[in-house]
Amino acid sequence: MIFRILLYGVLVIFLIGLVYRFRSIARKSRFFERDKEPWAKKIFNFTATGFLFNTLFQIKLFKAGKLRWLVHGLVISGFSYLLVVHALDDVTSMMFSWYQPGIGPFRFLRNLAGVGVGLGCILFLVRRMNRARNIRETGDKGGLFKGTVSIFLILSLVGSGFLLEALRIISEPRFDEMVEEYSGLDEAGGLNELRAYWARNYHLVLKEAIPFASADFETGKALNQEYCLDCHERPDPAFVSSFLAGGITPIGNWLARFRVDLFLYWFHYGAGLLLLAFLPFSRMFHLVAVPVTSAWKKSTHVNLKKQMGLLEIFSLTACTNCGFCSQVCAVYPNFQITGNREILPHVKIDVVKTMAGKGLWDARAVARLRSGNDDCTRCGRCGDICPSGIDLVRLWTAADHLMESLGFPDNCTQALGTSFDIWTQPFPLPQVPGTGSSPGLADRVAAFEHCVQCTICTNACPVVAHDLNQNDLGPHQIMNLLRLGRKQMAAGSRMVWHCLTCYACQELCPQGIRVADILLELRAQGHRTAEQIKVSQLTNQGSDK
Amino acid sequence: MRVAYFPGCKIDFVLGDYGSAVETVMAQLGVSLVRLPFSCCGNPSRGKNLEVSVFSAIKNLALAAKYGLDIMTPCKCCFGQLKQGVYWYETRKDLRDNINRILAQEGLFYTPPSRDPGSHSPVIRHLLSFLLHDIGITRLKEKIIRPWEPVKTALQQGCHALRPYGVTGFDNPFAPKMFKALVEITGLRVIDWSKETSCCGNPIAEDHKELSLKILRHKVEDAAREGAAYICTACTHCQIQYQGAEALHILAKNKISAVSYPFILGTCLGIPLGKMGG
Repeated sequence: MIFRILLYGVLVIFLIGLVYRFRSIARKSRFFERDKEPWAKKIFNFTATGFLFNTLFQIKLFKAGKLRWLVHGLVISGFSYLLVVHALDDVTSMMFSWYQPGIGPFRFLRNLAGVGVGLGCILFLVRRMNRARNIRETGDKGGLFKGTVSIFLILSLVGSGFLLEALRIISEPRFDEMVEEYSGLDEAGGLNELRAYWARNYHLVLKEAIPFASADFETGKALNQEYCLDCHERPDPAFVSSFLAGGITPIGNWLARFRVDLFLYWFHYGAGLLLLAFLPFSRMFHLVAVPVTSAWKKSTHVNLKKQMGLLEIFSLTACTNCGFCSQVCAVYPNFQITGNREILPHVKIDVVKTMAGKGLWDARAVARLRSGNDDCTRCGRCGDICPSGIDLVRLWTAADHLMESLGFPDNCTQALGTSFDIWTQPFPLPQVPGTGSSPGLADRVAAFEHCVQCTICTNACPVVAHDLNQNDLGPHQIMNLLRLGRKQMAAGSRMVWHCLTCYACQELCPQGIRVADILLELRAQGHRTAEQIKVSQLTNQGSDK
Repeated sequence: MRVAYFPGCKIDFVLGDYGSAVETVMAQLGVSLVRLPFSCCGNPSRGKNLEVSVFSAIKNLALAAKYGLDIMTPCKCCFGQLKQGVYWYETRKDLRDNINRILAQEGLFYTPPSRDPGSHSPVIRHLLSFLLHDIGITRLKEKIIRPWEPVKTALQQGCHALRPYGVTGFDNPFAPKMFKALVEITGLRVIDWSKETSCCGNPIAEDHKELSLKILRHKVEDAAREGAAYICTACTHCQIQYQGAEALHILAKNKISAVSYPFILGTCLGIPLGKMGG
């Protein structure tokens, strides 16, 4: 009865968790007005083969890493066996009348599955530890315990299961209970003979040892055959538990007297329920999310623009933080130089998830995300390798869109939308990672002092030629601004941000000035300024509230 | 012949047919393309962080050097950036020291050609210069079995390979000849037009779409006035610019189609269209 109540309680928590998880993305983040594609269309745009193969066999994980596929397979195959045959045996034994948890083959399989799950989880932890060490070298603060709660829960579930079985094997009070329930034997009926037989063959540990020599094993064997053997074969096929039982035999009596097996039973049951209740809130949620993301067709560059508003919960929660994406990321070198971890896909997706729920909760974090997401070249390699089948390119486009709708534009929009008063005032904020600086051409007078304002560069410039009404300055005027010492002002001009980098100006300059290189350098400075302005504006907004 | 194939970031996701055309043509010519775990060339970061862009380029070169291979890319922006990377690496000592330090952590090592003439520093080739210098125009001519009709064709040269000549050393930046020679052997008639060496507009397609399309429209109209039926490209970004949704309307209106050079060459070599379709 109490089991049922607990189970239903946990199921309610599980359902509430699911609802909470689905609601965790703020309404605003789910859709955008522009180019929005209806849900229905997206849902029916699915691929059955992707769903089947990736959910059942994890083919994408197999392609990405064979060893990790093996370990992952060990855990899920073992766990599914235990879940169906062992945890839900009330249900499954109705279908299979020949199922008995105490007979040899099932004891063996249960132990085998337990070993698979336990070993797999330990390997998971070892890998995490290794990666935590590696990432720490590159400046990660995230520790080992981030996202490993579920692994520890599973480990304690498996461990307590083994211990429980071992204790039940040796426990005399448990033996007495069973005898009373199923046979009603007493001392006169041969209880002692049965005890002696079990002590010899079933690893039972007795409070008062019976001298084997005097025991009548034939009677014991007959009684065992009559009452016990249908459900209880020798426990040796349970290779882990009987090994453990052998190990704890010396303290067996003491443990049995305190009924530690009952405690372990509750612990085992509780760990299972906790795992279920915790599932919607933990990384384990990928159990639910991965089948969904695998079923959706990946976007192509053609329909990417139509779907760019779509940021849904499954893609964000299917991530298991495995890190394959960052290994193949084309802009990994950007991270190596700038140290901005939000360039790496497996970090970025976590930040996007937080932002989808909380909006622009932290100016610095959002600035790093924006910078990292702008560095992304949309090469699609992360989405190709993702074992969870997440359509990552769509996610990055959606994240850009979300930031724009929340009022955090890209640097070009920010730079051209800022008045020169604000643009040219010095910003005391420390530099945002993602934009380095060292003295360049625009800081060296010798690089531009020979400009004679001949306007050849401006006449050659396709931006000037095509954008007469909107463009503010020509390249020769930028050079003049530099000579006037107004580098910051030059960095905010339309010319700098709309330069095509076609190098026509530089190639034609009769004075040999590296005009295009200087424009690019000014744009780099503009990127830094724009980011600082965005961060300071956001911080001020926050303090106003 | 083996060469490290540097497709760049855009081909696999956006322009698959361009990539498969390059691959089938190379297979037909007996060149085996080696795919190394290259990263971005660094061109997109050029205007944001010089050090990032130089490091990205040098890291790719160091990777090719590790395998003792030359690099061939079908993208002019990638080609230009790899060259720019070498230039800035040689010019700026502060960048060089930091880059060498990070490369060494990964067991990579790079020596620029100027410092060590006999070194294993990889040669950077664009698809066109690879065809011209490593395959040779006479060998190409022998292989052509299905030449095209002499239809008027306008060339889109692609800026980043041409300019700055001092850095890229690709072709004459004002009167380029290589592309023309390679297109003429296919039977097409190359026209002279005023906007041959000017920009296609792709670099600002995201930041200022209107201007980008205006540049493209002027180019296409200009080519149409000269009577061209095709615009031939040899750069991933140029081809992307001509294949965009709006660009297709502009091209259709002017009765011009944009075809990539590997596709034209592939048909001349007798490769079935389906194989190059991507």
